[in-house]
Amino acid sequence: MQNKPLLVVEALYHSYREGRDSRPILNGINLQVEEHECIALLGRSGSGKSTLLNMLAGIDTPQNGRITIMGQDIHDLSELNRTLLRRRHIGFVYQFFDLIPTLTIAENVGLPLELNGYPEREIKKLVGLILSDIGLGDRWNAFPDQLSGGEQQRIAIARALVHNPAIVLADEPTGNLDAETGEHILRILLGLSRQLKRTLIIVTHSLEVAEKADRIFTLNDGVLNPHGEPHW
Amino acid sequence: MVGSRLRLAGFRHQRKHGWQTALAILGIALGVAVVMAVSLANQSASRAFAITMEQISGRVSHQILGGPSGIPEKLYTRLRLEQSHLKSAPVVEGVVRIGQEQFTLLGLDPLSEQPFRTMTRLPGTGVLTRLLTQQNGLLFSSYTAKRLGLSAGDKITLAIAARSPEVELLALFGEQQGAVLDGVLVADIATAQTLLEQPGKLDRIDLTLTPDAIAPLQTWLPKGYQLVETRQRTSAMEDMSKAFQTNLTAMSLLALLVGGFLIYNTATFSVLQRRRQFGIMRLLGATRSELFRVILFEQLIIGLIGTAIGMGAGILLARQLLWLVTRTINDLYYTVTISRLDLAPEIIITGITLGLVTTLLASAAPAWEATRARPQSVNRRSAIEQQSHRAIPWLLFIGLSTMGGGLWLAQNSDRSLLLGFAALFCFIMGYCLLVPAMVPTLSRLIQYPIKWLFGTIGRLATRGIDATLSRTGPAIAALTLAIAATIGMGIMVDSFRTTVGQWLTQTIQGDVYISAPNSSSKRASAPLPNGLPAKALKLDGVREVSTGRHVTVESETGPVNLLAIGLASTSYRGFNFKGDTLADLWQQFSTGKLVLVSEPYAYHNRLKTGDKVTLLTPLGNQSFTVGGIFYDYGSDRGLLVMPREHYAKLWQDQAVTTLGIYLKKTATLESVLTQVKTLTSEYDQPLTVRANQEILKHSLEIFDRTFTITQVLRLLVIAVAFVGILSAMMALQLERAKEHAILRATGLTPRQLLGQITLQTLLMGVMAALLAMPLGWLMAEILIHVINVRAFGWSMPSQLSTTILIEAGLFALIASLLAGLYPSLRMARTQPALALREE
Repeated sequence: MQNKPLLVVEALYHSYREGRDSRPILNGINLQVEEHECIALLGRSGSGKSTLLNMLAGIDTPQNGRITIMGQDIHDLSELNRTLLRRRHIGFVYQFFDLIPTLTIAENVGLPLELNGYPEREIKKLVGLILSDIGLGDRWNAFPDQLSGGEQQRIAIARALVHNPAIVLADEPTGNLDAETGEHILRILLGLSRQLKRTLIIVTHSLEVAEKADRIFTLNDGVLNPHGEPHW
Repeated sequence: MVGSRLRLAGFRHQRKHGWQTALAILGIALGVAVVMAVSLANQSASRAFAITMEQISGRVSHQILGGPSGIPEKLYTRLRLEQSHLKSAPVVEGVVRIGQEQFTLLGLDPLSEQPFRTMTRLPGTGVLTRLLTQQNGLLFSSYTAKRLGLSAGDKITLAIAARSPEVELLALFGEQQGAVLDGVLVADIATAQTLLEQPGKLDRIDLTLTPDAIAPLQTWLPKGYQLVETRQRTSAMEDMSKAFQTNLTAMSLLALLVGGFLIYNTATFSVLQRRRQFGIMRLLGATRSELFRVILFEQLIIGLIGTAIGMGAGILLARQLLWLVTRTINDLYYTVTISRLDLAPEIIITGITLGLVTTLLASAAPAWEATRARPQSVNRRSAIEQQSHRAIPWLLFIGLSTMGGGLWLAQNSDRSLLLGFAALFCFIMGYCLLVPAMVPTLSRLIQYPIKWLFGTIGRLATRGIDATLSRTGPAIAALTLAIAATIGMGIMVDSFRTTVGQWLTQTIQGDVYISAPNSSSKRASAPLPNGLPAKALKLDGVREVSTGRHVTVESETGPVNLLAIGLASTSYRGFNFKGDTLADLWQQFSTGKLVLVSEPYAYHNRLKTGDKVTLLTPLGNQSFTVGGIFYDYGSDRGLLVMPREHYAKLWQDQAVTTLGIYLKKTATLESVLTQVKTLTSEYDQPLTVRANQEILKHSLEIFDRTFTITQVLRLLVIAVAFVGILSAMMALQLERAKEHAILRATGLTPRQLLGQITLQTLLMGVMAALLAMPLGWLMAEILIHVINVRAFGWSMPSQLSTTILIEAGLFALIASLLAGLYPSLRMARTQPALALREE
């Protein structure tokens, strides 16, 4: 049975100024993502993958086109409401982990829950559960710089999923890790997303990574094309 | 509670960057301390004055005043007989000293005092009888006695003019009252007259009048006496020191402004350092307002700690400033004893509010900036820098507009001192906005010579300044302000001192001067012995003499200093007039139709040449035409000058206060001085003989003494500025730890890195010093030509002192060097990998 569309992108256009010229980075992007789906966006460096992801998260605004998440055109929303939508329904994983260096890993993971108004007891419980799931249940009080790259990325994944968001956006989550660690991280990310029935959009330039997704798209010269059937 | 983790992240960041946080706290603490100290000292002075006035003339509605020679007791007797329905009491008032401290000696008639004051209401009749009958028996306020460690029965030696009579403390007063009266000694009227050597004379008669009793009393009052309202007179007296106190407050606010810039700078760095973190927080769903509140809260805590430390330090500092303020007020305005800090709740609240509001205002812009943070790491730095460069035209526009507003305000705010300060602050703020706009041009100008001199290190150092304008711009602006403040205040004091020196050289035309030691009377200076001028004129080598009588007389606008002079032929040269004088000035002056008025008097009373001044004389009100306005820096209260012969006729006062001796060309100063000293030693009355140069030196010493407090404030501003420079530079370099680590990893040796960091901070110090010079000069111009004129009525040319500029330059360089030292040593010792990993 076809899932209900969770995210719809229509005729998205965006360009950057380069001196006096303007270079289109997204040139009429159309995309429909269903609930619980896993999408991979492939593309070379500078192809606009991250720009697209930032627009999906509502932290960048397209010059033209529409993005609808859960039936709401996010660019019709005020900045505050976009933030609240992101807070409640979107999780983010970055290539450079982007953990808050002055918070312990438990505090880092608990941050989205706190922002969403969870009581402290619930936060502790959920953080404990997810840290155990990613195998770092014994590192509660460690600070990010005391962890390896792989461990930091696992924390970033836990933070992205802990508040049960509808969509998880991952920007090159294995790009900064060695192949073996990257594989492990990907397994965790995909595994948890599927287990928690989350929609995952993963940006990568690695076909190997992309092949784990339900559908693969390639972003080339600002245009998004389906890449082929999923292997998963 | 939403935000606790966000706040926690902020506090841990502050802890991690302890140096930076400590310097920000120190900056605000110093700023608050200076403002608190000045406010406390000012408030304590005003409060002490108010308490003294309330106790001395609390229920007195009106006073009868006489001329410089006082009021004969006979007038009081007549008043009691002919106006027996009125409540009246005679008062004698003078200045005495115990050690180095000045006190007001109040001579009262305990039997008439009932409706007015409580000081002579003593338990039992024994003390009262002794007060009335015992020679040299005094009452002290219980607070004064406790402070001086005295008790009833103690003998005390007073210093009154050149005499040292011994008095006995009979009893204490004021023990029951809540208010603390200090600096007032009370005697029976006869005792006071004896001690102050004014037998049969009163200084005033205090009255409590109903409105319908005023007019009949005015009709009854003989010519030469004036009925004045006490409240009006008290407020006129208090107003005398207002300008001085306002100036102190403004200078302390300047310290706070420098401190505020420091906070702004530190907060900006703190925010910029965490831009990425804030981006992540935004991405995770923290709203702009949540982030804004969290950052403001964090800065508020810093502000609170700084304010609390500043308040404590301010109280300690106020104790030191208090005696300077007291001394200046006593030297320039009126006698008041301020021995106790008045920790009024409003001062505490003002201190807290100023500290916190400054912190919040200074942090608001960086906090707002943080809410714009985006999580993308790509092009982050370059985007911020592009944004900073794009802001340059706006900064120029806003900066120039603000300065234009300041100029408009300075020209169109008439005589308002507060608006004058507002204009000054507009100039400062406007210029500070221009600084970041000027930095790229300056760094481009120096980049080639620096590269030529220092090679790659030089290129990296100059390039870094322009390339990170978002950081270097505010830092250099903060430094510029700090250095400019020291230059501005320095030039102002220096110009003042030079002008006073020149004025004194011109004014003191005589070669030797004779005067009596300071008078105990508040109405007139102590007179010289009769016949002294004639004897002096007969001495060998003396060409001629000039005479002067300094008194305080009553005018329509309250008491005014009057100098009655008998001019020598060259005395005229001592007057330098501002603008035009009336035709045949000196001829008309000698007829007694004219008075000359000093610049401050003309300014405060809006007088110009040709206007009229009315003075109360024993012959009734007399009107005089203003013949000319002369420069005078002796007193900001102002001075009137008239011929002595005419004064003597009008006030029936033949006394002479100062005698100027002019030498023949053939005479030597030493021989005349010896003769004058021999002549003066013939008199019982001790007299002071001083040569021209000695007076000049003495006067400049007094000038320096009255400006000590300004110099202290300047030093405090320098201290805040020094911390500012250290903080800004250090924060900038510490923030660049990763950049430095990359340079080290690329192959820069620790020594090269040390050189690069030091050179960069040094260059920024040089830029700030260069940019501070026009601002400092501009500040001095406003202080001299707007503030000084409005506060004191003095105009003077500004003198650009190279010493002050060199001092400021050196100060900037030393501070920059010191500031660069810690980060460079730290980086040189740190493993690059660790720095890369940490950031």
